[in-house]
Amino acid sequence: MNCHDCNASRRRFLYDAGAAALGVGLGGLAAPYDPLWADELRRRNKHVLLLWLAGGSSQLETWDPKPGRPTGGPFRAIPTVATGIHISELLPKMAKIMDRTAIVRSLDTRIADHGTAAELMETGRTREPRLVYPDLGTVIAKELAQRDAQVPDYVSLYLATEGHRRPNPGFLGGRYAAMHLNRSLKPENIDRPEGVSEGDHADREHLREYLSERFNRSREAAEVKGYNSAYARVRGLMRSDTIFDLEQEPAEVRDRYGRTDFGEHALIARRLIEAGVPMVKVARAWWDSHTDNFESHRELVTELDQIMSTLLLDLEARGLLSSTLVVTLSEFGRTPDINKDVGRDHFASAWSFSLSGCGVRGGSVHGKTDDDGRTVAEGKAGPGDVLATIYKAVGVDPTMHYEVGPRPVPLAPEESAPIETVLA
Amino acid sequence: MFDPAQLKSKASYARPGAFYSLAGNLANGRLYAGNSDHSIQVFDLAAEKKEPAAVWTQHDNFVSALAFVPRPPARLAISGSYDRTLVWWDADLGEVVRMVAAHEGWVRGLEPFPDGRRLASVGDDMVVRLWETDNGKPAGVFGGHALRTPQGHPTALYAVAISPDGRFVAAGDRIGEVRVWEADSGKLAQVFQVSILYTYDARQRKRSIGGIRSLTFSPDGVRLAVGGMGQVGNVDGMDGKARIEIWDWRQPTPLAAFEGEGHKGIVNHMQFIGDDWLVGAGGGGDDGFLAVWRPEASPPAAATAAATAGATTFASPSELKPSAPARLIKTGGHTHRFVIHETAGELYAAGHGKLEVWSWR
Repeated sequence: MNCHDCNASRRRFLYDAGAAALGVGLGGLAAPYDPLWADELRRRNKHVLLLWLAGGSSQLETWDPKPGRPTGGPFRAIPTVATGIHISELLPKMAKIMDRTAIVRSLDTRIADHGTAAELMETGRTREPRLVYPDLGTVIAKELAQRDAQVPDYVSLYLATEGHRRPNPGFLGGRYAAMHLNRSLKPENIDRPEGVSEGDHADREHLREYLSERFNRSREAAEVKGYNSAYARVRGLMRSDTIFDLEQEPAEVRDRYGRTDFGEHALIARRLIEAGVPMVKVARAWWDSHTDNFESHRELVTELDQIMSTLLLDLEARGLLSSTLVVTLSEFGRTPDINKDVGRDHFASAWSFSLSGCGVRGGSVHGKTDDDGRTVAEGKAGPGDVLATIYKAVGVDPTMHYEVGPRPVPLAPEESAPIETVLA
Repeated sequence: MFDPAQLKSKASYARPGAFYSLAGNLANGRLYAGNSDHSIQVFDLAAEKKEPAAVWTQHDNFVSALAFVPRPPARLAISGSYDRTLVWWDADLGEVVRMVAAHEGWVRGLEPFPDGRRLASVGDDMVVRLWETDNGKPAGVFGGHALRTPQGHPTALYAVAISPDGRFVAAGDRIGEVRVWEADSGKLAQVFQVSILYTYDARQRKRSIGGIRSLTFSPDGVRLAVGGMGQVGNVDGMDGKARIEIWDWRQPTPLAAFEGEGHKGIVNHMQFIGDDWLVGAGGGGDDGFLAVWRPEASPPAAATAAATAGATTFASPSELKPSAPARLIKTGGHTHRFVIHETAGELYAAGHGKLEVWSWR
């Protein structure tokens, strides 16, 4: 037998020993190894994709147009395939698939400062001095994560510098914290060291697993299980680097999403969801149109229309939309009144967000604003209601509690409730 | 004689909304102002009451462009709008003569030819369209401006100008490109870039601002003034210096740059008064403004040799040392358009919330 055959036999022995110890097949993602866990997986195989429109997108130039009113601006409203629903003419592609999307037009969240409002919308609450709430993504990652998944539970993408925010896991700690990409489209430091082949790297890992399991057989130490889980995640992450490689996508698909940062991030998000990542946040900065609002929203909303419609249709074609909740949300909306620089300023009293896919009653609208969009006329909803709605849409009970020391902390604030109008 | 030092506000007509366009029948003291409320408001300058003498409604979006064209025996006002149409009006009766679906996008600008026989409009379909004034028939289409920005976003064709001899039409777009065509043949005569007037922030905010918002030929037709805003650090605001560049468009060669003495904003409209003065108006970070410069014809010290016709790269904008204005007046809110009545010694400026009369006598 030559050396190549020796190496192959050695790898086979280690593979089989390791696989036997773990009881899993290691040729890809971890497979369930008991029927109860298979049921759990089916229940949990849901995802949330948050399109975070950082800086405050204008509800009047997206989901709640007021054409012909002094506050309406120049963009018209167009009908959609959902009877009775009109949206901005800047969203013609979304208008054609509005039956996949629900709109909430009646957010009244009061706070119109970027940082504080972002935290409010991410956690559903204002900050407390002695308790740091986890952001929505961390909660989703925890509740929807699959045991022994070899992909990250939460990936956050934000490549601009303005308004940059790293998701905060709060009291849930680092285990479900986001893998946050803010410098490149690919995680750093996940490549194999030079001089170490893939075969050698796999051999080392299999040996480590085998010896670790053998050590822990009679001990059942939680720490050892935790280390194994962490190593499995690292190995998974290294194998996952292809998820971030857009060269793997056909050019036609890349062109449909667009070769902009936002387009590429949305395509990565689809790939992450396809690979099983339960929570993905893609931030598109920067919507803060204090000046020249109509020109900037012409640019930003047109892009959102292209990317959001492409994403929804792509997820649907791959059988993923029914298990993926896609949310568009900002920290606040924009003033109905147009300022002296043809801009709109911060406004949190009557604004909108959208939900599509999993658990959503597509083609529905909750709430109304007055004729000029200055106040909520019907169906007022707050930040806690937003989170409660998102949780319920993906099968997470918003009234469930975490125990933080002696204090039970509900996932969504106690006074909040899911917005049932938009839920299937 | 025009004296910027004597410019002072004489009267103000406060109105709701914003005036985006203005034209004047100066012979009988009438101004036509297009508003964001979709109306055209007609002002009689001799009237005591500071309110419109008439309000015309036909458009269903912002009235972004206006021209007054005497075509004896008729007097016509032609309006353009974000509703993509041009409307011909009997300027005395306020009756619609005709309505034309003009552009596949917002109409951004409109200029009559000096002889009044044709008009040129620009719109977000990125073309210049010529029209016969007397019957509204199309008389030419000039294209070539990019349909998207380099970053793949929607763009706009904001500005149009016609040379005093009527031989050339110029248009300027959002990304800083100027094109000049022979009006009769449609042949492209020149193209050049004034890229400093377009800012794309690729790092902090990932969006753009700016563009060529105004163009005007010098009285001798040799120079083209290109107006907008210099590079912007924070694209949330009109945070760049108001900027005009004067080009010998035939070469093309940049000759001079004017800034607003550190005043931040965008130049929406410009006009030469003879050879001695260039008036600009706009708005932005440091408030709305009217400014007056002495246009210089001499080349900047570090200018490179003139390129041959058709070249598209020129002396670096940084080599143009901008001149300060002879006078800069803050007007309180964007000023979008003005009309100069040299005989009367008055300038009429339309913008946010008002029409204002300035006098230098």
